[in-house]
Amino acid sequence: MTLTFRNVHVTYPGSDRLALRGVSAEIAAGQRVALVGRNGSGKSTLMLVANGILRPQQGELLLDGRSVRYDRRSLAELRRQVGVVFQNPDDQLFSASVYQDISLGPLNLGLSQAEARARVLQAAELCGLGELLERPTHALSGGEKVRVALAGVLAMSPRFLFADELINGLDPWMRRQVLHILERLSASGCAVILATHDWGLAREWADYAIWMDAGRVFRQGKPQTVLSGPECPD
Amino acid sequence: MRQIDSYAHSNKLSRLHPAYKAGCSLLALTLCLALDHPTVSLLITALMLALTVGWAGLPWRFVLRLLGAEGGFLLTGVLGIAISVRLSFDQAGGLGPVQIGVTAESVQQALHVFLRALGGAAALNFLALTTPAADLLELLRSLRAPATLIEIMGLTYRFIFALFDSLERMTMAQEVRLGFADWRNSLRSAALIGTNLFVEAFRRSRALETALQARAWTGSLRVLPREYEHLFRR
Amino acid sequence: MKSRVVSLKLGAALLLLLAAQPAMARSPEMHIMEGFLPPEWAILWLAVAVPFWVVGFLQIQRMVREKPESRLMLGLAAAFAFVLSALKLPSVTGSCSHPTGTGLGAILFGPFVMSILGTIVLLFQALLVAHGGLTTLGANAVSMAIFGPLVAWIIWKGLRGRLAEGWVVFLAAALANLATYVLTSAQLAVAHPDPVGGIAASFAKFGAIFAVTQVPLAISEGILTVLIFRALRQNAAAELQALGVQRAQS
Repeated sequence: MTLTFRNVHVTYPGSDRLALRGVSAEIAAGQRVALVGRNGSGKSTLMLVANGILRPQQGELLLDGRSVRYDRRSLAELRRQVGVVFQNPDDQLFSASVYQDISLGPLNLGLSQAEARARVLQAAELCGLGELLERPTHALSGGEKVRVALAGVLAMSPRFLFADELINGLDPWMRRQVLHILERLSASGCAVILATHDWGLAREWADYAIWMDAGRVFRQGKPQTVLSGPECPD
Repeated sequence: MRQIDSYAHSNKLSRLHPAYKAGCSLLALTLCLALDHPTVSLLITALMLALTVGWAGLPWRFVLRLLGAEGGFLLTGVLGIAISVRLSFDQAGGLGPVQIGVTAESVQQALHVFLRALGGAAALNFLALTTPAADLLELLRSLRAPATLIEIMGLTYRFIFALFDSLERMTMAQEVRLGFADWRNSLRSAALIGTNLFVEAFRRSRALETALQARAWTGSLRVLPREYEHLFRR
Repeated sequence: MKSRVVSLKLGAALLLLLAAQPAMARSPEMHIMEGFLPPEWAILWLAVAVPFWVVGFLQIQRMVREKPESRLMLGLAAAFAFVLSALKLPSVTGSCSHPTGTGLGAILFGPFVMSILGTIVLLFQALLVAHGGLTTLGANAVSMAIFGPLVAWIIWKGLRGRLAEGWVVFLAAALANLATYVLTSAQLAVAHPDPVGGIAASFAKFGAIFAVTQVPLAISEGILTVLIFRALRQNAAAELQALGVQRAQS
């Protein structure tokens, strides 16, 4: 299974500045991709495109080689396969309890209550949230919120997981725990695309790197080659 | 606020179906108002305190302190009833001497209202301290309240805490810059905080929309129901 | 006939009343507390509120049908109103209170949607901070979520374009605050008429307090709302537009 960006140009609604100007990249199942680049270089925009929230003005997005049409059915299919965890977990959790929040995605996919319940428990177990299921979302710590936001997406069993700065601001223990979750995910065949400013992590963890600059892909390929050279910040 | 909410989530009855607790509380409120007798009011106050401490297992210190604070409010409140005023008018229709004082009747009436309201406060406290607000919304939903309203209320509940955090942060940031040093500054700081809060609330609603779309949102905020305990086998 | 009635001159009476200042079951933001109203009054005020809720609900229903995501905005708006009422608002007299936010809400959402949002806020205030109550929800809604916003809305609609926008916003917010207070006082006065002087006397009790303490607070809320509104015009014009608050006619 692959997700392909082909010459994607995109502007945000109500603005005519191109946020992405001709991005091409292909991501395959089970890959671990580090997405790096300055703030404003287009990393977050790329995630919105991957999930079908932004529609390219030019170029196209392909899921398994088939061009994504932006009707209801194919958007639903795209969102079943491609999950996004956004930067601020507080903007993604809206339910009163952890259990309920994680159940939103599976129910949106039209699963039965029993199936949804099984998905919730599975995702919660993967993210180490077994103890917290009954907790109100507003009483969670920052690290817990991150994991709940992650579980909410994983409960939809995506084949591609985009995570925006997921580990920023986490303490080293929590960071290791989250990385461990991502590890298990990619072992199960899910592609993980992590936007990060941590170049050390990107080199060490990823097996593919995409360096974005000013709405374009500056370089992509093996992390050792892409993330080295005089242009590197470190 | 957080204290009441956190007790509601962590007392011995928090997993009990909200219908029992709401039933108890509303019954007590109704009795208090309908019978409207000081002895009944006192009995209900005692009973609701006993239920809150004995049944739900809340610390009696906290429960008494809360009721005490409300009693204090009420006391200043019924002072207005206890103090009696008689207006008199002279021949020309202007306001003559005003008679002011306490009468046995007015004091009795004040005491009467005080006890009734205290009973009401104890009954309401029982509900607020034992039942998570989200469970009450679930209860309303099962009573066929319109889903749209319940969803809006659920979001309100969820974001009261997030915005409250922001309020505290902003207030602190103003205070360290002497923003509340005098009346002018205070007003300006208050306006600044109010404005920022508004902008933040709006930004959050947008971000939430994006996050919901990414989770294949279909237009309603359906989540799995919570599983409650029951008093009797069903 | 009565045990001890003292005759006093008006000035002295006022002073004495001020000593009983926070008078009548008002928690800091004017709520009538649980159990304070006899059942017949509780039911009456509830009945007064219902038609407004129905219209407000139908309007919200329509908004949500057209744009499903507007429920997010409405939920956030109610949360904003709740938190705004916790904001410290200084009064010219040096005391401190909290804004009611009813004026701002009415300008942004109109009186009917505001009647629903305001009632949601009142419900959570009763449950989360023990201000107000369930049996007094109707009465509180009528004064804080309906009457105040209605006054603000009428002023806003009626004076816009005839007066500088700042003044209109000021009057709308300040008078909404006062209207809320006056109605709360009236609600208490009719429910608890003075045993000696009757309803008129109990209303006078609050009237006296009102003149001295509430007017400055209303002025503060008016100024605050003007400052917020002006800042929103400058920094959040797009958001205001999305809420349907059009540019001022020049």
